Amino acid sequence: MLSILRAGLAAVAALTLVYPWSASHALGTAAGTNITNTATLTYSVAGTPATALSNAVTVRVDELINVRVTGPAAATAVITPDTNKVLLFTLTNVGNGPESFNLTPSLTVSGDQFNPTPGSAGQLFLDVNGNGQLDSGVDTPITGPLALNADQSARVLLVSNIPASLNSGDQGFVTLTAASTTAGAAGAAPGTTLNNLGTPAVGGGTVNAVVGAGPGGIADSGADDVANGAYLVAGVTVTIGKNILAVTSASGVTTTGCNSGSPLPACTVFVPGTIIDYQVTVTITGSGTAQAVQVIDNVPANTTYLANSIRFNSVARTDVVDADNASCAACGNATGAVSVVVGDVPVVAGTPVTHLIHYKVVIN
Amino acid sequence: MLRFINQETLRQLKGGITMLQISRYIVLAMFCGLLAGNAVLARAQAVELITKAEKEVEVVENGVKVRKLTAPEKLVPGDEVLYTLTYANKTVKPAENVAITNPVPQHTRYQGGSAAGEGAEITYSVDGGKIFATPDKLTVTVKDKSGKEIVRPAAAQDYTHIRWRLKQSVAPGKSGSVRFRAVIL
Repeated sequence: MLSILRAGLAAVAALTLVYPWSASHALGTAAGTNITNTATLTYSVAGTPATALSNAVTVRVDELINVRVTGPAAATAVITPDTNKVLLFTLTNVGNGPESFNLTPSLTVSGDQFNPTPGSAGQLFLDVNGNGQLDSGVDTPITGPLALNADQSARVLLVSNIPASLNSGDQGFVTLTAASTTAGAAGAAPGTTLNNLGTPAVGGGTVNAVVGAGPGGIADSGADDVANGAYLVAGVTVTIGKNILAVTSASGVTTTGCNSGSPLPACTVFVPGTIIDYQVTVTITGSGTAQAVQVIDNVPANTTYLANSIRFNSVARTDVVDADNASCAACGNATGAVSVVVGDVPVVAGTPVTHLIHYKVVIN
Repeated sequence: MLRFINQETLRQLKGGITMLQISRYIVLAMFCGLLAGNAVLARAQAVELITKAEKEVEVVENGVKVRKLTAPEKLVPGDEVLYTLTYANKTVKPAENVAITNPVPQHTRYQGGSAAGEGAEITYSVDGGKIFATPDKLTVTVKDKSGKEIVRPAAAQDYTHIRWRLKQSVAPGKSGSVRFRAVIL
């Protein structure tokens, strides 16, 4: 049983090897803990066995100051302008004692296209209900240093407004810095000792505070940390236009260019038997991905769908629902609908994506 | 006992006794000491063990990095504590079968390969001090991810106790030391 217990501790120790050069790990012995060592001596003199205990030597564990901040993995999509857009950061006290941290957001990070402004609802909130969103009246504003016990984490919402008149694809970078409030700790080299400025997690009084090593290596102060976040103007707009591309008269004469600025008179002659070639234009603009785009166009009243007349980007499609992306099942005299599944359409700013759908009907 | 005799002797000296008398008293004192009862002698007849904790720090002296032992302060998780155990035979006879057993202190793990001691055979326990053996003979039973128990060779961090057994007896008045390092968890 005991060997299993020790094995459990061994597993903990093994985890710490992830940062072999770090003087710290998150599951460290609590600051203020007394570690006592006593050994036993056995011997015999003149055949008489005896046992003696050594003195007990006690060392006290000091406070290791160590904090980590992680930011959101992906940019938060915004429109322009926008208000109270949230970036979720996580702050973790990976030291071994209670510690408070000042949180400082920066909205003027270089390398981006715009600077967000503090959210009109407030700038920093504790994500009390843990959903990563700003919930008025639930999530509490952060107005001072954030106190965390050893190994404790806090979810922090950085809230910003987004300026007007931005372009799709524009990014606004932010950072969130957490810095220990212990005097002299933030920015100090790993190993720096601050006499009697540590707070024990167990036992009373004070202990020394020792600055841990940050994620940046042996020269990086563990008493502060910074993480990045980004807003991305990612409006995706899908617009659909429909017009008449060509008209074929009842006598079989086809007039094209009906969608031009100055169409021929024949483009407006509609009598029973006239075939109308419709063009539906799907345009996706902005930055991001338009997901699961599908166009459905009902066969107009007083017309009959011309079988197998669908073309998608000038390539013919069948009417049945099958592997190709278009269909006009049960289409007939003013019945049915032309359906074209365009799917997910990624688009980058400045390069709109256009898909053309054509189909024909005959005027009854 | 001896101090009492000395004071007695001093008093006699003040009374103006001869050197011959003094020497007689001393002989008497020595004789009394031998008879004085094992209770008195047994108190002094002990082998002592002192444990000391130290921290090793790297300092730069004249531009050269040197490792130095300092007081065990400013210790945080991940730091090493060097424990030195000094034994001293304060009896008048050789101490035989001398063994020192040190449980790995709570909140620490044994630093592999750190136990040392001149003339000592070093063994370890992984079961709370019941069985001691050399590292190659120690195993631990752990549960794998599926909860199945598996036996694997013991690693340094599994050790619960360290034992040094001195191969030779410790002569009267002689002392020595053994040591190990523990890493604060």
